[in-house]
Amino acid sequence: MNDRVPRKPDGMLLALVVGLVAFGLVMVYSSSFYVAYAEYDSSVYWVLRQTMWAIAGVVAMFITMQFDYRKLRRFSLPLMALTLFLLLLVLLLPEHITKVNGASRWINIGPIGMQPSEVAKFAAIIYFADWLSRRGSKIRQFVTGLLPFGIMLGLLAGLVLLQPNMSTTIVIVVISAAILFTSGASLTHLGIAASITTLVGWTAIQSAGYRALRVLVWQDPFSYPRDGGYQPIHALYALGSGGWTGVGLGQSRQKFFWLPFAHTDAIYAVIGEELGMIGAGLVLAAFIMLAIRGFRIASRSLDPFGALIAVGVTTWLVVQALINIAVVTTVIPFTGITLPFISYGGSSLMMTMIAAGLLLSVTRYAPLKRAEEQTNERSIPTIGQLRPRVVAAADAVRRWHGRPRVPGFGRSQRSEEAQRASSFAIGNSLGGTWRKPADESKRLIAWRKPKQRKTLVSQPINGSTARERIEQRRRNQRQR
Amino acid sequence: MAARTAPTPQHQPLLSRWRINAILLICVVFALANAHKLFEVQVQRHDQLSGLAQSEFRQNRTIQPARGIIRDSTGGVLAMNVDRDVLGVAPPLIDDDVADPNESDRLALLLSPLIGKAPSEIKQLLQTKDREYVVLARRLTPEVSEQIRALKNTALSLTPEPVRVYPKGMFAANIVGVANYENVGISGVEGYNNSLLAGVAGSLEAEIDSAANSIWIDPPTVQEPRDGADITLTIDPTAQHIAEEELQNALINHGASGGSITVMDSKTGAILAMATSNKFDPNRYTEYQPEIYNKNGAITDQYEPGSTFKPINLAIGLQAKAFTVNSVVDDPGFIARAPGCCANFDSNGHSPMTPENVILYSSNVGALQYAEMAGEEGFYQGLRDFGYGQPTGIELGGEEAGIVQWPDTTADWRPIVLSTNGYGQGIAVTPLQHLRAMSAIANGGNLMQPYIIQEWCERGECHKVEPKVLRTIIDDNVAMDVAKMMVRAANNNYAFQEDMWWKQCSAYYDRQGNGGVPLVPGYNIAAKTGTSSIPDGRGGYENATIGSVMGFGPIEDSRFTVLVKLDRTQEIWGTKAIPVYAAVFKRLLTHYQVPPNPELVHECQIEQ
Repeated sequence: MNDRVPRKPDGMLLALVVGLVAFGLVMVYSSSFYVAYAEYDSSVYWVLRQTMWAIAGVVAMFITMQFDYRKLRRFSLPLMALTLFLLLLVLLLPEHITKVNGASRWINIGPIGMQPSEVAKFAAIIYFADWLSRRGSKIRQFVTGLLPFGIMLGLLAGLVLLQPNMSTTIVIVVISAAILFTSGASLTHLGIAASITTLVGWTAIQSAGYRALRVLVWQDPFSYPRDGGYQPIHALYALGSGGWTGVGLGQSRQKFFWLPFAHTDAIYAVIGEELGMIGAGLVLAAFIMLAIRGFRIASRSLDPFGALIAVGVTTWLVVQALINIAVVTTVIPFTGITLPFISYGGSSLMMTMIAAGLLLSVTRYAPLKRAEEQTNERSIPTIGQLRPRVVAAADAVRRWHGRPRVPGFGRSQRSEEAQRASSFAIGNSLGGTWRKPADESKRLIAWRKPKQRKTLVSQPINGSTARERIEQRRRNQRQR
Repeated sequence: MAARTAPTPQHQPLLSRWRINAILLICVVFALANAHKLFEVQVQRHDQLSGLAQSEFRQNRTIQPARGIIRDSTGGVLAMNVDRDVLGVAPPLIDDDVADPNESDRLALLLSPLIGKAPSEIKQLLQTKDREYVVLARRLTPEVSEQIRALKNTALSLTPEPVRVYPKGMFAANIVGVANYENVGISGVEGYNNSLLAGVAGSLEAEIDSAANSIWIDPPTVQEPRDGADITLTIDPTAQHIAEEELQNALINHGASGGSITVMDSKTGAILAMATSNKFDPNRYTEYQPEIYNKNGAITDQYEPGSTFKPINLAIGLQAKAFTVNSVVDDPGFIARAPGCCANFDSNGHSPMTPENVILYSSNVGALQYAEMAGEEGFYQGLRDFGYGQPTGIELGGEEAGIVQWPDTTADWRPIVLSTNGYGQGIAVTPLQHLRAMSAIANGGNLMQPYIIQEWCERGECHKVEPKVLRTIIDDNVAMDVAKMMVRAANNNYAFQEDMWWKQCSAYYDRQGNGGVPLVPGYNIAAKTGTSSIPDGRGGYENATIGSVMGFGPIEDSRFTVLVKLDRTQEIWGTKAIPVYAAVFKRLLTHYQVPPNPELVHECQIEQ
């Protein structure tokens, strides 16, 4: 499938992730130095570990980014099987291996610990993206679509919920639901599934006393200053003290043992206190930016598997961040969940970095359609979609030859086939793809590309024509 | 697996862009909900929430000033501060969970013998779950604190608090008084001078973490406390010891129900000793009735002075020049002034009655007539001058004023009041008030301001209290005349001598009042007995009496004025106070190394 040159990764996504991680290091230090000094006699105890994890995470992200996500298809089922096995193992292993802070979530072997539930997020994304992308219209049938999906998700989420780990369960269910929804599942089915999930979720809340209490505390934290209300109250104190501009970096008072988990789950409250509404709003905006970029990649991917992975990963990172922020601001009841890229937590950071790498891999390897092209004929073109056409038309009139403005492509003497093949690479920089060639025939060819590929599936080599392979080889030689 | 690894699926799903946009829209809506809440919390509720947060981490603490130390005149500490632990408990931290349902029971049983409370009572406190902190016990001794610390129970906390300690226990407790558990003085010197001793509390405003350690992002503002003043009393520990010991012996030997011995410096008005029968240990004051630790008999007990008032009466009359030392009145043993009034204690007459003999024979009839000679105006002006009927203003709490039936303010005043006042009836005095009046005679006519605080030091600056002459009320020679009359009475009176020198010196007694046997060998000690009836509260008098002796000496240069008062002794005439008085004087003079005059030792007193 490596029939096309990987593009550069999406620069803005990369900048967002690296920026959030760097900002996270600053905030982890600011929020943890006092507690770290009190507990470990070293104010950099946690930030040092987080820095090492961040470096490792960036390396992991770049490695993942280089890896063609499409190869993951063949791992989807083994990965799922392994995940289910690990999740079972967590429930079966003795508590001294698995138990941390009252819940059996870990597999600790010697100094190395891992949370199978983090792996479960990956497994859910890759497995469901693979499965749903090859189901086609079958997923609209209950027996072939929703039912197997529901069984698999129920198995996965159920095992996580048994740990117990409500927050990860929610994230997994939301990721899977987003993938299912994107893949074109029947809305009726989704409605039924949503009702069932809500029912199950409500039962889960009622079944555990502490969860029911959390709902009560959420409704009025100030009535429970001791029983569970302590953390929400101090998160509100932190945010409220911030005002518009905050009390200044490093000046938070709540981190002095008042706010529990100030450098992990509640770090957003410290950000709000030190940097105010402006700082906290910018963090929120960064995640929205991440969402916009991630979903845009999904929209424009011609490869449904890539699109669904992009949807899954973006939903994961954004929903987890939004849930964390919502918990801190008491929009929703309390649940323990980290803020991706920012909260302290080595394995969590590592996993989110790998996820970001996966998303960037999609931006590099997924065949993209151009912005103006629509797979779904029923949808109404938005202004953003119309605008490139107008601009491109004007552009084409100005540049009479109608070829792409990019010099490398514009000047080459390649055949139309080569032009067509390389036209996917035009979307190198996502923002620039609206510069389409005015030639209607090229547009049509490009648009028809998926269908052509479909006919070539049975070809033993790479699914491309001999002509294309020659061109490919040439190009590779040129690049070397 | 082969099918799964096929590079491209058979059925391409139709990815609809609107679905992805819908998810994005949901995320944005969720984010906007967060942003809206963020705005509400951070901007709209900024003042409220930051105020609440500050009330939690900005702590304004009072720094307690050290309460002043009370010392006696030699520097011995009578009251000081030490830190003792308060045992508190955080009831919510006691797990009454399934694992150990009986923890509060167990804890209650463990603590019960340590803090001396019933287990049921402790358990009740442990189960007040709605409270964050409950005090179980205070003022724990270090040993108990150590035992509780060894329990290592996280719900229990030991906090030191300054506790008032009286190292000498019962010694001078009636003077020093008591500060309560809140370190507020409630009686004695502690009570009267509370504001002086307490000092001014300081404050520390600082930011703290949840373990109450200062976090110093903002420098704390400290208002230093002003420690209380240290007080040095005029009380001489030896004199106090003498007084307390003699009083205790008298109470035991003579079966008295109460009493007091007060020693005043005749010249300055300083209180050297003040012993009362209300003995209590201020360290454990709660174990006593309030009337015991709140009462200092020497300033609160009002009683009829009886015959001890006669020298004052004579001094008033002599000063007013209503009669002279050579005046004579008739004393047939009784005199008719009102139905059943008025007779001498033994109904014997001793005519001719000079002022001197009024003291010697303790003649009521004589005293009555001399008072009448002084006249209503002169007599009561004299009483006012001597300070009767008004508090002395000593720095001790709870002082009484005494009761005088002033002619101009008493509604049904009759001349009989003046007549009976002449021999100390129908008038109520406090021992201190009476003693001050006697000191005026002792020191040559100056009415002194009695005081008990010799010096108070605040922040290294000491203020010495100077003796204060309120007014000069009688002339030198009048004072000396009265003093000589009292010495003669002391040295010759049968009542005086019967318990003292009668056995060995009976041959030398001269009932006419010449010579006699010195009460205290080597010194001219003035003294006058008094027997007073105790009102029974129903308009009559009890069957028992108060026996008292008051005097001073040596008269040439008087050092001490002493009043011994014994309530309800077995002996009805109250003469049992005489040997007590003599013993106190003897020991005081020895202690202060007042040189005796060998001529004043009678030969019959030598052979021992």
